[in-house]
Amino acid sequence: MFKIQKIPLLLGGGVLTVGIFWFGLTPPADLLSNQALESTPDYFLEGVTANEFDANGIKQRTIVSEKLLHYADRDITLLTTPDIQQWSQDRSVWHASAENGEIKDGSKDILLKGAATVVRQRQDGGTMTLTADAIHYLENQQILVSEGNASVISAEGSTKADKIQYDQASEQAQLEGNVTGYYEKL
Amino acid sequence: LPSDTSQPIQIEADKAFMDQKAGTAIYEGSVLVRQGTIEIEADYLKIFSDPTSGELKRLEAKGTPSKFRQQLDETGAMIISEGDALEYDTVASKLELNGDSYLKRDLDEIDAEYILYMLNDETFRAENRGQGRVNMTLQPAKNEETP
Repeated sequence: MFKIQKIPLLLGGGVLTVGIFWFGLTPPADLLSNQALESTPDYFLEGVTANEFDANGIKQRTIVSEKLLHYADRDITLLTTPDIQQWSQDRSVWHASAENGEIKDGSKDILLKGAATVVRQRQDGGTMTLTADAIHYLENQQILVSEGNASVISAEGSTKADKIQYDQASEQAQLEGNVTGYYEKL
Repeated sequence: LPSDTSQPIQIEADKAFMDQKAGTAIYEGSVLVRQGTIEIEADYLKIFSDPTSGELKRLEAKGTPSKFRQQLDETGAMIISEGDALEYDTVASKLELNGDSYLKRDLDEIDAEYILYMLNDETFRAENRGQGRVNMTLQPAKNEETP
């Protein structure tokens, strides 16, 4: 009588052992977790210099970057210490630099982050400088949007604000939030 | 103070619009201008600079009212003025007040529609350009003999 009662116990123990053994054997569905895939560029370059020309062979833009990483799944290129030179239609020179840069695939917009600076050197020698935590260059609208400790410095003086939107063509700027202007007496 | 007009100018406001080609900038919202002991308060301020040299030429302030204050000397004597519109020429050191204007210098007071005040030689002129008259209260100069 005692023997019959032992059989279910033995069966249960056996099933349990097989289950643990089996579950331990099956390999994980993907060797690399999604998180790992996202942080892996599909290609990267070091010591990069990229030149861009228009249809007439006139240089439009030069991008120099310590490191360039491209992420296919996010359609984005990340730049380390980008240093960018760009010529606008009136041939004034724009010089931009920052700790990091981002360019979306298929777009000419550039997001500069970390000690971002843009300097415009006009044909008449005048300069205009934008500085901020982040500066977003939007190619189609030809505007620069500076956010976080933003400042615009020109011959007139220097003005700080939380946010500054600068229009390259009209040379006009909209400043918002804690605006402080400082004008030296000549 | 005499040194005021050679000091840098600092402007604070909620927002601003700058036109570098034209050499103008418009500040709006709780505008406060400081230059040495000079202070201007306004709702709206437009500044005019030379687009090439960048030199600041003129400020136009509007407010309800716009106010101008300046300390005249080391004793702390003040000039206080208000007007619907105020124009400060930083090159000629000239202040013009328009529309319901008031100026008080130490104990002298003026009410008029237009007041012109020359900062360097501390002279002023008041006019009424419509009806009404200029009201002026001038304190007699203290006589040395008078105890």
